[in-house]
Amino acid sequence: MNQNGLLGQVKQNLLHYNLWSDISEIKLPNYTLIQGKPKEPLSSAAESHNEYEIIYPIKLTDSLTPKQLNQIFEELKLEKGNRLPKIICAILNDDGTIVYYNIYNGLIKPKKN
Amino acid sequence: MGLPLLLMTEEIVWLVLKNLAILVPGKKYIESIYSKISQDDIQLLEKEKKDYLEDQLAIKIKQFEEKQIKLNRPVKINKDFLIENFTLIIPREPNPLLLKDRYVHDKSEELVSITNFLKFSATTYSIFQYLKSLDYFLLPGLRFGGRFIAYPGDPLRFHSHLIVNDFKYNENIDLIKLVRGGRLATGVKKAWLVASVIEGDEEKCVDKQKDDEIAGEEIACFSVEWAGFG
Repeated sequence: MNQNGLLGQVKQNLLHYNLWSDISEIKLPNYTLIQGKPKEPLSSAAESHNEYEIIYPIKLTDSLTPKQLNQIFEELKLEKGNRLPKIICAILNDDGTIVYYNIYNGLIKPKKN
Repeated sequence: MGLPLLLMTEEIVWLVLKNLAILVPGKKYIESIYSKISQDDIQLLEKEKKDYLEDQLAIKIKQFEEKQIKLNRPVKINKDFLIENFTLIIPREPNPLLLKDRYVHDKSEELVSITNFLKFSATTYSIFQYLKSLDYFLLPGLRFGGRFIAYPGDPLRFHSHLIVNDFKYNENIDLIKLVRGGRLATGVKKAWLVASVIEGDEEKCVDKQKDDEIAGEEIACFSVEWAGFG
């Protein structure tokens, strides 16, 4: 696996910089995602009883449309059995920086203040 | 906020389509009323104006009496003297709504205006209507760099809002925008919403939305927030 490719860079970042574990790839018909376990659960127990998070790596300069997002959630549903509430988008800049953003399928429930 | 209200285009369309308001072309409305005005109408307007003044006066007198009682002072005093010297009532213009039945509502003209609005922002309106059907309150989104701000209707969930952004289904979101919007939203305890009307002959791959859709449109929504790590 080319460690300098998109997938490789994100896997490295998750593993060595963010200290995630159990990192693997999920190959879908049109997309390849990453699955892994954060060092500590990212959110309250109710949301992450699964403990695994799904990462979608993408370059800052790539295109991302609502249709593509829908497609990712749909392909993940076929793979995992039901439509997951959220994925994490890993956005890579050409300078090596990576930022992570949660993308929820639908309208997010408001958090208690 | 008082009258007149300044509404968003989408609010106006929504109110008219829900039969909660009608669009009235200002000039035509006034002409329509005043071309048919009769002597009885004038008397009606004058009477309404007089009644309003008398009501206001009665309120002022009552307020004065209550104040006197509170301060343990005598209530019965020379009312005429008081009225002349100590009350200020600003008379109001006659209320044109009293004659609103004189205006003949032109539905076709109204529909032309609505259609022009919709042509201007049809997909934005679809998103507006969808969120309204889920009991969100919507305000203009300029303060947070979005199209709308959406407030969940339930007062118990008072503090969280959405910054609503409308996109075409095949439109590139532009990841820099996503980063900027997502980081801002998270910083102010909101989420950055990507809202879009589904196009094409896709199977219903979005979880079924509530009813109240225009011509069977479905809306795809994705909420974005900073993941908090990295």
